Amino acid sequence: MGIYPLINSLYISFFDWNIKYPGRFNFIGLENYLDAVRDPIFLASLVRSFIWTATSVSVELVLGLALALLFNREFRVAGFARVLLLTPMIISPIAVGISFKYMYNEQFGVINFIMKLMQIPTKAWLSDVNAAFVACLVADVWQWTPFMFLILFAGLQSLPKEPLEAARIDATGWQTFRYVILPMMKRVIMIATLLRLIDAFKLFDLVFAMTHGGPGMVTELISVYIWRNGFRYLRMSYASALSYMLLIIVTVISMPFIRQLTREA
Amino acid sequence: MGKLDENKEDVKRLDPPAEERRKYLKTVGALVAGLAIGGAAGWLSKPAERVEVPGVTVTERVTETVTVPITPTPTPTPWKGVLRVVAPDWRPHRLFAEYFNPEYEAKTGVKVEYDFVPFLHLYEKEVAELAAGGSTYDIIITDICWFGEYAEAGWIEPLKKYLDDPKLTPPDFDIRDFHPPVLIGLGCWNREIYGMLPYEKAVDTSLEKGYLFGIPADFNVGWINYRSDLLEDPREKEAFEKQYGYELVPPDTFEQYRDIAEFFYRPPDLYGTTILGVRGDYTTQAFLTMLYTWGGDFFDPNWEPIFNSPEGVDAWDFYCSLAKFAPPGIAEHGYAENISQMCEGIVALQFQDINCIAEIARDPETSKVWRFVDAYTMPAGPRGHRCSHSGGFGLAINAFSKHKEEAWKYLAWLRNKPNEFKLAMLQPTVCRKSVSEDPIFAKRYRYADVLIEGIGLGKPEYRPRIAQYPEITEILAPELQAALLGEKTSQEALDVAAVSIRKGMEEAGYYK
Repeated sequence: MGIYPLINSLYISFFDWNIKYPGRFNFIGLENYLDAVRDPIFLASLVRSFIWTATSVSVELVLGLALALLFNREFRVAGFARVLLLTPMIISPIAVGISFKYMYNEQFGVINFIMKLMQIPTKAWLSDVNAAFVACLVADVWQWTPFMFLILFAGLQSLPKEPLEAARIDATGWQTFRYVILPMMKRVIMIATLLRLIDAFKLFDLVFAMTHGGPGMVTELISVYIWRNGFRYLRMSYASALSYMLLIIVTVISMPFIRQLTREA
Repeated sequence: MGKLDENKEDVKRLDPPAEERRKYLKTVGALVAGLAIGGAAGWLSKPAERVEVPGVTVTERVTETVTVPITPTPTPTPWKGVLRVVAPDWRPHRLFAEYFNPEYEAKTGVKVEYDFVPFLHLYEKEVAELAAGGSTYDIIITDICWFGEYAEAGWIEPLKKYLDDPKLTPPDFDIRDFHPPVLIGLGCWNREIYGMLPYEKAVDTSLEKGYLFGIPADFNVGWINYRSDLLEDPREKEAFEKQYGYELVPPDTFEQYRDIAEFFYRPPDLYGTTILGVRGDYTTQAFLTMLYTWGGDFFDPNWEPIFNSPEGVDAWDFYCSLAKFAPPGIAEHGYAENISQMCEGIVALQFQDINCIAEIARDPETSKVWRFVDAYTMPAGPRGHRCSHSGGFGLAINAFSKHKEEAWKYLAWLRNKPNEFKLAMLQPTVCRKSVSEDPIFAKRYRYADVLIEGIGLGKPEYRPRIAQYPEITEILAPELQAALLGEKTSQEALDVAAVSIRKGMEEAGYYK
């Protein structure tokens, strides 16, 4: 079921098909791919996607690891708290985007309400070209840190106890983490990072719900630009070519991780 | 201990102690009780008080009974199926579904179902269906600016054969009763009639040559809303005249509009004006109003984009200068946000209100300042031009529908004169001359004269109704927003958009 759309979209990427002109379907070879490389909007959105991915994945990894270490011990209501922590992950990204959009609203949003109570100057978060990107990132971190937590927590739980017990005898907590836990967790961290990286690079729904790629172009990620070409400009062939460019880029970025994991296995 | 006793000890250690379980249940119980109390407190708390303006005379609402003409029986049909309509989630179309459809079903046995889609996502929904040759929907309610695209792609049915068939169209349907610019904008398409004047000639040509593709559903015109309690307050008038040197009255020019907006800019309780700044077609519409008001145009006769002319740049610079008097967060402000700001009583002037949402600000159920919202015609630009927003939706038949005749019978009934009259009483929208000229219409809406004047100030090609318009607005809107937010100058934004739009027009074969 997945093969046909994949092959068909590759096929149409070599044509000049625009839905507005039903009779037009001419073979143009690699023209769409060359246009993409010369398209300043595509290149700018690619850079934005790189920045987005690097920032969101890094923050989520650090927070996820911190939470995993915190929960890697038994305390009262630990099970209940872990379930609560995973809740953001199971909410639809569109719902998260819409919720955050209203929370960020300048006039009646809860974030500005709390800032007013604390006598902090409020902000038009999603209208400010300097703040909108960060505002969307916060929503993404809120939603996907639990995913990192889940994988890293599972990894911590599966670590052998003997090296940790031995380290605790004469090492500090930080030394135990740095020289014992971290090396043992390397594979798990790489797997978690790889999965999030692939997802973050092609993120669409959250940003679309919050800003539609605005204000201006500050949150126009690559996926939003592809959507715009396919479903607003109706340039299906060009949108397909952009999608394959995205696929190639994500594959290239993922290769080092996969090679390293395969080597270690 | 024996082996059996050792196992008992292990079993005891595995079971959570009863004491621990009780403490856990107490904690959870306290949490649930706290949430329940908080929820109940929220539910019982009083709603916000209405704003009452002291020292202002309130005019009592007068109710008058109007005799509504009897709707003729629809054209008989043996078919008893379901017609499906895709529609924007706007009030007039909700009225079609809730108010008119039950009557149609009772009289004909034909059920009509509406699938409502938020306007900003309607285009994708319709194109996805039509481009695939889908017959899910029999009737497509389409925006004025998409008619060209749908007609040229062969996605909507030409209506001449249905209109000319006496078995399908009642003799009193009277297509020429629609206001000519309304019929052209919301029903007719061919490049031959683009920009054709007078409008009556364009209507004749369209009806003769089969360029009719839709029937007007509702026509939108624009005006300004203003707070009469503020503009008529003697203290405000005195202070304004002292500051600006002329009387405080509804603005005749945009310079006066800006002065009034600046005068009433008193954040956080009151702002001077609303602004359309969301990344979408609403902002393009705001630009087009300003462009034509400043005497500019979108294309020249050879389809070259000229909106980045000095007139266009000055117009958008002016609009951007109004942004500082608007409530913050303009990048999120569309029509819904603008009207709710007026309803909340936090703005003095409202740019580009449109008739299909006008009543929201005048309804005591939805507006805190319903008594004080008055309308005035669109101000003039620096060279004396005036322009009203011209928009709306037309009812078209899906070219792939399996029930085209049935769809036409429904449209011919829905948009006949008596139903147009009823709709006009429920909602300030008017497409037919016989209804707009009826004295009852003028009594029903205190701004009826402004509405009728707006029809005259608008034009069918307010938004270029060519097939490329959806792409044009997608290119233009982010650039306009970038200028509005200070990311670019108006000239830079419009130049970038002009280059991209020209490229699209070239691909479409406009330059040969």
